[in-house]
This record gives sequence, C-alpha cells and structure tokens, in this order.
Amino acid sequence: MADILQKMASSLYDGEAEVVAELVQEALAQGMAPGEILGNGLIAGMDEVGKDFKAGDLFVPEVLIAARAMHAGMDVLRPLLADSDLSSVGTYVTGTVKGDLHDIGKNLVQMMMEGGGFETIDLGSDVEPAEFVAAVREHQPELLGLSALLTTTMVNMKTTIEALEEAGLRDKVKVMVGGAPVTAAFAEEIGADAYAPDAASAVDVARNLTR
Amino acid sequence: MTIDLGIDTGGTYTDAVLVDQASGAVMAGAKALTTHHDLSIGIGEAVAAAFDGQAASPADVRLVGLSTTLATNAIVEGRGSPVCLLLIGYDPDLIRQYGFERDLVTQDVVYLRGGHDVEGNEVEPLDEAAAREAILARRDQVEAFAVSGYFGVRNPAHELRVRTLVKELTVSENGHPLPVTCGHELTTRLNSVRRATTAALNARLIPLLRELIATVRSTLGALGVAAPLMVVKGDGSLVRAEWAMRRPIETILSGPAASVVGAGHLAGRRDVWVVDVGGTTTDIAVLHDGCPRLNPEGAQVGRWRTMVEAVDAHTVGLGGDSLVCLDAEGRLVIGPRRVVPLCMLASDYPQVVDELRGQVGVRQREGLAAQFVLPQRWTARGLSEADRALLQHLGADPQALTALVDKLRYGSLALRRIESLEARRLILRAGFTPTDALHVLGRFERWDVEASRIGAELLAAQAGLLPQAFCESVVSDVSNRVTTALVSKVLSDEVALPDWEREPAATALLARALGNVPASDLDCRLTLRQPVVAVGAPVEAYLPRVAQQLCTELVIPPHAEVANAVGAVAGGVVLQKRVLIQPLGANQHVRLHLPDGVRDFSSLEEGVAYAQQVVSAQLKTLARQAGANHVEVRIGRVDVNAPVKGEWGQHIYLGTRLTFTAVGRPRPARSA
Repeated sequence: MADILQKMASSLYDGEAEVVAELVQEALAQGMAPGEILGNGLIAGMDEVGKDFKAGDLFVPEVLIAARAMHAGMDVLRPLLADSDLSSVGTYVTGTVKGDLHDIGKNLVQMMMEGGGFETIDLGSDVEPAEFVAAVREHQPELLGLSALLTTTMVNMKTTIEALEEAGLRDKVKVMVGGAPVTAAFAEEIGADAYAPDAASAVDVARNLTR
Repeated sequence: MTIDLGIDTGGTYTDAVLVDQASGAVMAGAKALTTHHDLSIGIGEAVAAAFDGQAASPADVRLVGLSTTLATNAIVEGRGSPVCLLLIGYDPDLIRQYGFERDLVTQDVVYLRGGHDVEGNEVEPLDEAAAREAILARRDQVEAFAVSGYFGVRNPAHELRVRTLVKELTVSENGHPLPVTCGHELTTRLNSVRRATTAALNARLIPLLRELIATVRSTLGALGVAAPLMVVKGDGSLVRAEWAMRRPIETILSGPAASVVGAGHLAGRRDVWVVDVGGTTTDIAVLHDGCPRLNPEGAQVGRWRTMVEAVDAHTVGLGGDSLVCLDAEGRLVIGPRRVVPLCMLASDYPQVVDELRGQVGVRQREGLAAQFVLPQRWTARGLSEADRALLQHLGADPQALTALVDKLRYGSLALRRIESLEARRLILRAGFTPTDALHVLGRFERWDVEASRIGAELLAAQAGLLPQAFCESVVSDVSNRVTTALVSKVLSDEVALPDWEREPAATALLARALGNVPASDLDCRLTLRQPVVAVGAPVEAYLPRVAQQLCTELVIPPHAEVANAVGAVAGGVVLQKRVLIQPLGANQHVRLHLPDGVRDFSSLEEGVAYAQQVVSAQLKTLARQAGANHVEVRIGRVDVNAPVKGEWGQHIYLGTRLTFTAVGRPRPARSA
C-alpha cells in the first residue's frame, strides 16, 4: 500500500500530472483514506520539491510543473476530503498589495502552501487594504500573505497592516510578507509577524506561525 | 510663606500634605478615612488635620494638587452617566461578527455613514442629516456624547463636524451644550474599536469628575483655601481641573502615578523602583529619569483596554489589610480579599475582644475563625427580600461570622449572600491581617493589640504553630510575595509575565534565590540593579527583607505614608502630541496628519517645518490652558526607513514621526 503513495510522491516531484491523477484514483479504489493520500502522497511529494528548491537543486519552472501535478491529484481528491482533512493545518489568504500587478511570486508561494496542506484563498493582485480586511473577516484565516515586488508598492504592505489594526482585527490573523525587495528588517518595521525570503521557506515560516 | 497642598482621595484613606513651595520639603501630612458617600467629610478632616499645629494657614496655599482613584473605581464598578456613542464609517456587521459591542461601553450606539481610509482620504461623505437626527433624539436622554470616526486619527474632519453639531444642537437653558468627546483628541493610535471604548468611557466620566471637582472646591473654600486646583493624570503630570473635567479618562491610574512621583520626590531619586504597599494592594512601578514609565499598550482598567498612556504599574492583591486565613491543607493564604484588621475593629468595638476569647479552644468552621461582619449604611434600593432580612438580622454591631453562619439556616448559602453584600459594600468583613501580625510582634502599634493577639492564637492553633512564629511567617510571606512580584514585573517587561504555578523549575530557582530553601545544594542570587523606594504604611516591616533578597538598596523616605498626596503637587505639567508624516505615492510629496486635519506638502522638509511651527504653537497654548507656566516644547523626530534588497536601492522611506512634548511648571518658577 505504501508503494503507491511513494510512487505518487515521486511522480509529483517529476511533474507527471496525469500519472499522479491516475495514482490517486487507484489508491482510492484500494480503499485508502483521502486524508492519508493527501498527507503521505501529495504533500510528501511537495515537501521534497520544497526541500530541493530551497537547496537550489530545483528551479521555479520545475516547481510550477510539480505544483500542476499536485493540482491534478487534488482535483480528484478534493470532493472526497472531509473538512477535517482540509483545515487541519490552517487557512492562508494571499494577495499582491495595492498598485502592484506582479503575481508569479505570490502564486508560487500559494502553491507551496497548498502543497504544505494549507487551504489557500487567492485575492489576486492590486488588492486594496480594505479588500484584505474584508477577506480576513469572511474567511477567518490563520495566515495572511502579502506580496509586493516594487519598492513603490511595499509601503502598501504597511497600510494593509494598518487597515487590519484600525478594524480591530490585527490580533486575529498572522501576517507574513515577502517579495523580491522585501527584507526581514522591513517586515519588522511595519509590524508583520514574519518574513519569508523565498517560496520554499514560506511553508516553514507558516508552520512556525500556526504551531 | 507659600505652600502647596496635596490631596489624595478615593482609596481607603484620604491623605493631605503641606509642601513648602520654596524648598519642596514636606511640612505636615495627615490621613482621614475616605467617606465614599460624601467625600467632602474625609477631605475636610484630612486637610484640617494637616494644618493642625502649623504656623501656616489655609490662606497661604498657592496651589492644590489632587490625585484620585475615583475615575478608575467608577470604570471598574461600571458606574457612570448615560452616554450616546456616535460611530462614523464603522461597519456594524464587523462589530457584531467579532462581538465588539461589548467593548463599546454603552448600549446606545449610532452608526453614521462617513469615514476615511488609511491615507486620510474620505471614503464616503458624512451623513449629517442622520447625525442631526440622532443628536436631537437623544439630547434629553444622555448626559454626554462620544464620537469616533473610522481612521479619525488619520483625518479628524468628520469627528470635528459631528462635535460641532452636538455643540450646536444640545445647548440647554443655561446656555451650555452637552459635553462631547472625540476619539482623535485622546489618542493618535489606530484601532477603531479601542478608540470608541476610550472615547465612550471618557464621555461617561465627565459628569462624575465635574461633581468631584465641585465637591473638592467647595470643601476647600469652606476651609479658607483659595488656590488653583490641579489634578494628577495617569502619567504623573498635572493638569488644571478644567482640563481634567473635559478629559477625565486621562486621570485613570492617577493614584498610582502620584505615588510613584511622590516617592521619587521624597527620596530625592530619579531612577528607582517604587513599591507602594497599601491596605488592599501593592503596586510596583518604575521611575525613569524622574518620570513614571508608561504602558505603551494603554492602561487596562477593569475589563476595558483603553488607549490612555498611563503609569505601567504591576498590581498584586496584597496589602496590610489583606485577610489572612488557612486553606484546607493548613497552608497560609494572604489576600486578595481586603478586610478590617481585628485591632482596628476592636478599637471601635471593644466587645469583639470577648467574642474572640470565646472562640479559643472551640473548633471553628473552616476558614472562618476570628472573622466578623460589620453592617454599613445601607439603602433599600435593589435589595432582595432575603438580603434585607439578613441585614436586619445583623443589626448595627459586628457579629462573629462562625456564630452567624451557625445561627442562620442554610449556613453556606448565607455565606454566599454575605459575600454578595460585601461586594456591594453594604457590609464589611473584619479578620486577621498582616497589620494584626505586626501588632502581635510589637513592630507597629496603633490599635488594639489584644484583639490581634487572640486572633493570632486562633489561627496559629489551626496551623500548629505558636502565635509568635505564626505572625513571623505571615510577615515573611508578605515580603516573599512582594519580592516575587518585583521579579515578575522585571521579567514581564523584558520577557513575559511568568506563571510561577506552571513553571516548577523557575519557582524552585526563585525560592532558592529568596533564601527559602536553606537545605538545597544550589545557592543563587538575584540582584535588582536599581534601588527600591518603599512607600505606604508600614513598609519598614516588610521591605527590608525584600531589599535583602534582591541584593539592592532600600530607601524609605520620611512621610512615606503620604507619598500619594506629595505626588499630587510634585509633578510638572506635561502634554504630548504625536504627528505623523506619510509619503504620498512615488514622487517626493508627503501628507501631514495634524490634530485638526490633513495637509499635503511637496517635500518632507517643508512638511516638517510647517508642523514644527504650527504644532509647537498649538501645544504651547494648550499647555497654558492646562495650567503651565514657562512652557518649553521639545520636538523629537524619527524618520522611518527600512532596508530593501540590494539591487532595488538602499532604503525605502516609510514616514516620519514627530513627537511634541510641552513641559512647564504648574506655577511661577521657584525663586531659589
């Protein structure tokens, strides 16, 4: 039984979307629990991707292909997953801040987070502070991820955090920030809870925050 | 000769001191019991006693300073006048979704359309028609209005407009409008919910503080004192009474702040820990460069977290009047319940000594030995039939609690009823206290030693100790608890507040450091770097051991028992305003968020120059209104820059924070 999960993980690592989807079907037919397939097959594979990406052995395109394979498996699995399987790790709401249209970095982190077992909600790019506040109210996530790729829009990470503060919701959610120009010192200055230097470490940072 | 008169009221005692204006020396101090139903009696007695035997007369008083716990107490007890809270641009669904209604202080909340965004831009125009309608509908029902706008601290335009409407629409026959408080007047910090809390609490306290100040003024007038009255704020500074009546919320923690300032003044020190042992509680705070250190998170009072920056005092429910009893395992429990010490009770009611003698050798109900209840002046309002019956049964004299509980049917039910009457101050409990232990040991003798002695005998028998040894253990337990509280306070400032019960290793180390485990192989020391100044009464009995345990110097200044009242005239006038400058978009333009609105500039330096000129002048005027002379304004500037990753440049500019601090003397400068 464990064989099939191992195979699933390595196919995911290789980015073979169709194979992963088939293996998920097969595991289900064998009577395996959806939660187990998710944790020990799909997430285990994505964890490997994360490790090697962090070590510099994999690059962004390869991660994107692996993430696509993950999605293929998830599409089969999702209708069967119990709520408890999905929300066991936490909910992650993300978006690129106001004035900034970049979304590759944000999407990459989102995929890694999904791979890490988080339920993710994407608000897109150029998101107003008030929209972030509304999403925190609606989805009540454990984590909010803010992305910015420009020094001119980084300041809107600060205004987004201020908008949460004004709404009285700052202590209801942990805020993590990232993006090419962003630094740990900047994150601390604007009152974010954490900074992740890249997509791979974002999952570790998120797990630490929700522990 | 010119003198300052300091008064502290609201606690168990009302204190009064006379301070020589030229030298700052305390000439006389006196205490009287606080008379909660009519404060003028206690104040009058204390002030008259302070002048007793003095060459100076009330006509020589040039300044009166008042510190009071009344605002704090009113908030904790949920008292105050009916107010209406007008919220502009708040989302009622969000407030409901997170249960924030509980934080809004009043049930009468009106949501008005309007409000601003994070940059101070108007989100929606203010709905003036709805504001008018709400104000008119309530002007005869409420005693004050509170106004808070969404992002009102980034742009107060809507709050200011609603304030004007309240003033226009509520003018009564005597020509005065109802009081109105805006959120942005009390803080510059974000969090719309906590600003609403703070503004509503302030509005609710205005009538109460007006009444207090009128009482104090008429009492002083009757005594022949005709000097300006100032009130201590929670940061230890002084403001003129008229100012305090508009912003009473700023007087929360006025008592603890005055005690810290007074302790520093009496000890002649500027950087010390101050331990104030009162009847009910012990307060610990830091004096840094002559000013009390403030809590940047805002003062918590009762269940409310306000945005008022007040003294950062750590309070423990332990004092000279704490009830001493033994738990089911025979362990000593001191506090947090405050009672009348047996020695004090017996000096008013000598018959309790006989009652105590009668309890010796008789097995007593657990935890009730040597305790009495004493009925207070009571009104029939809000009393149940059973409450009334119990009060009637009590009569006017103290009764032994064990006898009472045995006599009544359903003893334990009766006990619960007694506790609820106690909580409403309708009856007082008396019992053995640390003050009694000191009487037995001969270290403090003011009242009836015999009552204390028999009380000690009763409790010592339960603990299996001799009375003398039992009293020693009570006194050393008080010292240990104060030491532990000091250590907790330092750790909570630097790391996190320790939960000793759940950290056995830390507790074991602490016990060794305190010298309570002589048999251990491990010896350790804790050293408190700053000296401790101890005030309150009687600290000589408890604090030397504390200082020894923490290897630090102890200063017990003369007049330590009236430090609060000294602090009421020792502080200066200090007002602070914070102004934020934020970058606007990618060009060099900036926006200045001023107390009366926003203003844009094409460069940072232009904005800073404008603020320095305009805000300094405004603050100087305000400081004079607050009662200051010789006002100096200091300006602090912090440009906030954060580093960005190499190839994108060096730093990103996030804004500038300007802090304006006006400092003045509450009177003409001393001639010396």
